[in-house]
Amino acid sequence: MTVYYSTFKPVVNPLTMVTQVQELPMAGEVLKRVGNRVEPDEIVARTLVPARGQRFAVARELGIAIKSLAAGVVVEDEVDVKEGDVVVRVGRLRQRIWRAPLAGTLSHAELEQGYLVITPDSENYERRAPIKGFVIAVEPYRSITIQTPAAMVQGAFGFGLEQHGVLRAAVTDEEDELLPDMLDERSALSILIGGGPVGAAALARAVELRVRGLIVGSITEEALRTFLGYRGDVDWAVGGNGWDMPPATVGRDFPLTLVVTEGFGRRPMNGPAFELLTSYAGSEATLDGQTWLHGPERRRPQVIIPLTRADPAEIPPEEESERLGVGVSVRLLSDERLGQVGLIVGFPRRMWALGCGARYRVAEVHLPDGQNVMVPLENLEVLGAGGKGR
Amino acid sequence: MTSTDFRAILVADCGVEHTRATLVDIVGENEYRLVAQSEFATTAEPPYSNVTLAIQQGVVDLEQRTGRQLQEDGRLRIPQGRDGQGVDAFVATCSAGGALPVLVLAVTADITAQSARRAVEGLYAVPFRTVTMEEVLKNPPLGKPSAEADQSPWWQIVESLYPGAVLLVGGVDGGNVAPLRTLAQALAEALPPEAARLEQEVTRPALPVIYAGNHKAQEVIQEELAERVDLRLVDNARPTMREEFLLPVRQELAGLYEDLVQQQVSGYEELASLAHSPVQLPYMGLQLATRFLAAHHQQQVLAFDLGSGSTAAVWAEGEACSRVVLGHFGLGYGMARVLAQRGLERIRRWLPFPATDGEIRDWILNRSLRPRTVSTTVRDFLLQQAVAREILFEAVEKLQEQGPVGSDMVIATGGGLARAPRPEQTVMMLLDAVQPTGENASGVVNFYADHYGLIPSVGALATLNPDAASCVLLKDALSLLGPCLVPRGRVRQGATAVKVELQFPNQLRQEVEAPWGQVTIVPFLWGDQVHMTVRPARGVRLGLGRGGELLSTSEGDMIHGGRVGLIIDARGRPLELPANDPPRLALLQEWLEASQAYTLEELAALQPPPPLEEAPADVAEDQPVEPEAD
Repeated sequence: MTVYYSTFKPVVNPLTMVTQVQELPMAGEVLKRVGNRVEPDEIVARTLVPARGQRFAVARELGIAIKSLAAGVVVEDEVDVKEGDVVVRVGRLRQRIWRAPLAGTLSHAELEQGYLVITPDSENYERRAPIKGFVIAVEPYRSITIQTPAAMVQGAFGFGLEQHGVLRAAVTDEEDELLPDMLDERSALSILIGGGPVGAAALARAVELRVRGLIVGSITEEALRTFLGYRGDVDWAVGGNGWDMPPATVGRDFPLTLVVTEGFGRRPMNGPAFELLTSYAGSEATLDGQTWLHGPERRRPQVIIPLTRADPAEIPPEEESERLGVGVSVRLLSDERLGQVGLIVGFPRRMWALGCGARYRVAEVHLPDGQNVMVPLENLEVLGAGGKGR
Repeated sequence: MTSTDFRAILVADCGVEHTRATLVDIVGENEYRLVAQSEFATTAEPPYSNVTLAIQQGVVDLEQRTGRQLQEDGRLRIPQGRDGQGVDAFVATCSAGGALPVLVLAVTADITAQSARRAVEGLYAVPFRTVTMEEVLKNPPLGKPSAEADQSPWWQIVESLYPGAVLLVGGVDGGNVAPLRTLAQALAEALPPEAARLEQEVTRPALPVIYAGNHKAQEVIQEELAERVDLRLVDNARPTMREEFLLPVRQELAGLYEDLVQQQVSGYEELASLAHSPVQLPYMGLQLATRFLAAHHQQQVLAFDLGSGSTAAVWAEGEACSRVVLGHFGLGYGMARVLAQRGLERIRRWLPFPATDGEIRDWILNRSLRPRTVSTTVRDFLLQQAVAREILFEAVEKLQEQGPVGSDMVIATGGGLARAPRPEQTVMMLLDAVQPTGENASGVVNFYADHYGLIPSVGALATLNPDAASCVLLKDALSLLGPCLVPRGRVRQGATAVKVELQFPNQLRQEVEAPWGQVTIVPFLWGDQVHMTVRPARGVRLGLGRGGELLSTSEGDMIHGGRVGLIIDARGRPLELPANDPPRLALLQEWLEASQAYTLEELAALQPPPPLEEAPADVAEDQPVEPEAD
């Protein structure tokens, strides 16, 4: 069985309960209570994060002996200084002065090594609600949990942080490529639904128009590499910790969030995802493109469309495990059929030989074009909710 | 209990993608054998988040296959009863946590950084980035990143390096300590402010920093870092320009791996509590098995374990042994890194069909995204096996950095390598990447595949019952693919390189002529033993012989058949591939077809269809056109 997502939720889910926890990196203040309603981008918690102290090799800068520095410091330890304040004054005939290059708290901790350290004031850190919903739990000083009924689509990979906006369909068919001329001023601040592939030019145009996010079926490695400014193959070395895809090695923030539903190449978005997303054109949605492929922090990108008016009683219970069964709607993951969807109609008892004799346990899948194909169980993914158990 | 008390043993091997449960027991006349095996997807990650769940599934499957009751009330039934139900012990190997990322901080990129890299590449760790003094001075912590920079500043990585470690190296013992002070200070500046660090350390340990450089600088390093990180001082990995001493670093990294990766695998504690001996790492089993076989057969043994996330390779001869473990380098998650490290052109050179850069890269990255998908078409298998060849190449090159790597026995384990759809495909991957020369007394290199993935588990089994481990290794793990002759020298392309005469026990004789530039397979039955006489052409030599010198097996020294048969690789050494596509594709297809790895029809189906031709003018538009016969 393939399980590439951190929950048992199907890839395309018309109605589910989405729960998101917003944590503070350090103890701070949680601004909402259980039961409060929150809107996207609303500040729900805040704290102060200590800034990094900056070391200055003052003795070297002034050209003096390290042991002479201490006598020249005119500001006490742990005292606040403003930018431009005189901190060190040495010499009589030829005076040398060192002024604070920034505001902060002065430290003499490394004076004997010839350094002074200035630590800027702590910085404000705010957590905002990622989705519209209700607060269901608060951990004092640390975190807040927000929940909402929602429609949800999970992607294969993406990049970019949470973005909120109104969904707009930029294409009319899931096979349509998203081209630059399909984007215009009306696309600004929205989350656009594409269909098939998207190219680097369209991504650049989206950035130019201040589009908040894009949801597409696929992207070629070449287009992604061009947009990210990668040099080549070397940049696909999976990152140190999180198997992040694409690797977070570019060192800059993206003003755009991208969610790719199927994978690399030139593939259409799977039909159920396209239908679900376009049916909510005009509705608010939250997009999160962050992707880590492996490890306890594993995550795949997702699109969440809050349905705050939905009756929670109508939400089907979360399956305890991902189950393939007759009648279940699935997405095919084999390279030649990536993104195709079908319905499982049976499970042959015997192993099936495919591709130069390799034998697998397979499911028989009925495709929309009328074909029945045998697909290894490893190459199937439950697509829609409501699948029956085996 | 003594080792002989552990008769029925359940062995679990928890990989990144797959978990195997194997039942070993005494069969027949006191011989330990594999009884049954089952395999399921590993359940270490969300939403299952417990590595033992897959083992439980495996045990249930084993019960159904064997008709034996192995569990009672949801727990393993230990010890085995007189009725044969239950097992005497449970042992496990686990690599489900993947590799430990290590940031290497080195004074220079050459000698000491290379030693650091070799130290890290002996375990499930990956030196994902090496930062030298030059880069530190160009990009000091908190400085503005250069607009031309094509990757994150090194210091941004430090804060988020969890789980992970920093390996700080540089300088021979007694040398200048100033550069190391600079590196240590830079590292200290890259750390989060103390308050934030203390907050983080509530939920995760302090960043481990291993210092393995100039001994004289240890005090300086302690001054700069001791109160800010989990500092570990070990002996210099490069104490002099000529000496390399990696063991202390490796031991420290092994401990970190256990603490930061293994122990964090969901369900690992439960797994360790169930096992009768400490949970082993698969590469330790590979090393143990390789050394045992080298001693047992008095031969040079080269073994590969090609996994989804990582690859291990071990070479052994007598007391000598070398090992390399390439983290994040495999046929699943690790595929993207193979592309990054080896490059597209090296992978493409093994494809016998035209493919654009984009097609190859998209395929590889899709596999990294969904590593559990399996190949279903000939094209898929060829792409996968091209990547596998480059993984093996990389492993061999790394082993060769440690010393000469000869091979009388070559062993393959790991699904993508040892369980190819046809054993001939495994042989071709090994031949193309390892390119053995057969320079030994017998002139023969034997290829083996571990179809059941047992070799990595041998280490765990040996901790309880060495007899069981050696029995299972020799009888079940090693499936002989075939003996291989490697004619060396040069004759005209297509001319006979060697004439081989096989004499079977029933007096039947078979004569084969193997042409130069080709792979020739001579099937003979698994289990058969034959006398072989080989007459090389002038200018061609075999084993340790001279050009044209006869090679013959002597009494009691016959060659054994295997799943493939006798393999004659007369393509020359080193292998040379044409630079341009049409001749290269044609040559690869020829080799794959001659070696029976792929059929002519399979290879022909890969070729792009010819351009459509216009219908002849005299065919009426409404007449159906008969399809061409296949």
